[in-house]
Amino acid sequence: MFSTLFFYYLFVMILASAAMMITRRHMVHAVLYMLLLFFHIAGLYVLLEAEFLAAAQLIVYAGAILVLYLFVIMLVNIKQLAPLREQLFGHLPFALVSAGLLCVGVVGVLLGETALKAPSTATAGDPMAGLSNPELLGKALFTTYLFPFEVASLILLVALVGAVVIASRKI
Amino acid sequence: MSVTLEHYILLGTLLFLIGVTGFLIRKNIFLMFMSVELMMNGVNICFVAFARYFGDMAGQAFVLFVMTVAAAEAAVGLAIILTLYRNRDTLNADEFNLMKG
Repeated sequence: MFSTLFFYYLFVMILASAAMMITRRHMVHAVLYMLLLFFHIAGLYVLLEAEFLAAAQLIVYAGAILVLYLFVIMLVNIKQLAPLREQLFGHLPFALVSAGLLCVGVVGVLLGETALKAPSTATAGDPMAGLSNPELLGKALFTTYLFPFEVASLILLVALVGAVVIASRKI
Repeated sequence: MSVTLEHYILLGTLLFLIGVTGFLIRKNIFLMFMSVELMMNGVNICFVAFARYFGDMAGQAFVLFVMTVAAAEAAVGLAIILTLYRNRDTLNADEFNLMKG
């Protein structure tokens, strides 16, 4: 029951913040709604027993990609940022309520049950039984998906070099 | 009323559609870029829901790769946007019309 309520809360919040994001005129507001969206998607991953991905969602998307967006937005249109300061605290009650609900939901799910029950496939002699989510994901990444994992590191290297070359060159 | 796999697929699809809508209706190249991230997140939700439903780690491993590609895409794309802004002094996608496409 609790996880069902939490799912519907996440459902509404994810869609609402996505809709708000694509309709904002001010880019910084859009990025902040996107932050709200990413936090609630991380809550959804906790609900789906993907704790490692929830952490990765917060670190990679909310922590790295959004900060990169904010940096570039502030580099390109700093003139628009002046009136932002007065409007910011008007959202404080809403922010506190949604942060509180998300916190209660995640803690409740971690203590209780999850929403989507997998068909039980684990047998008694299964060596994978009883492993936590990061352990299972690590085993999959370093055995079955070892080659894609190495390719991913190559993609990141190419992106790193490419971003530096494109942004620094005078075109 | 319990939450089934279809609920998660519906959520992922709706998020993807909002991303498509944002990409099509906005002229700001930043928001178009962020809408692409929205689409990726919609797909990720479906992947994780399937991974949970089938008890298979393949979906979660794939989400990790999608996140990697999203990070690489953001780095390169934002560098391109920065270069475009330096050259054209605008973020409106309609004004990038040198190629007359």
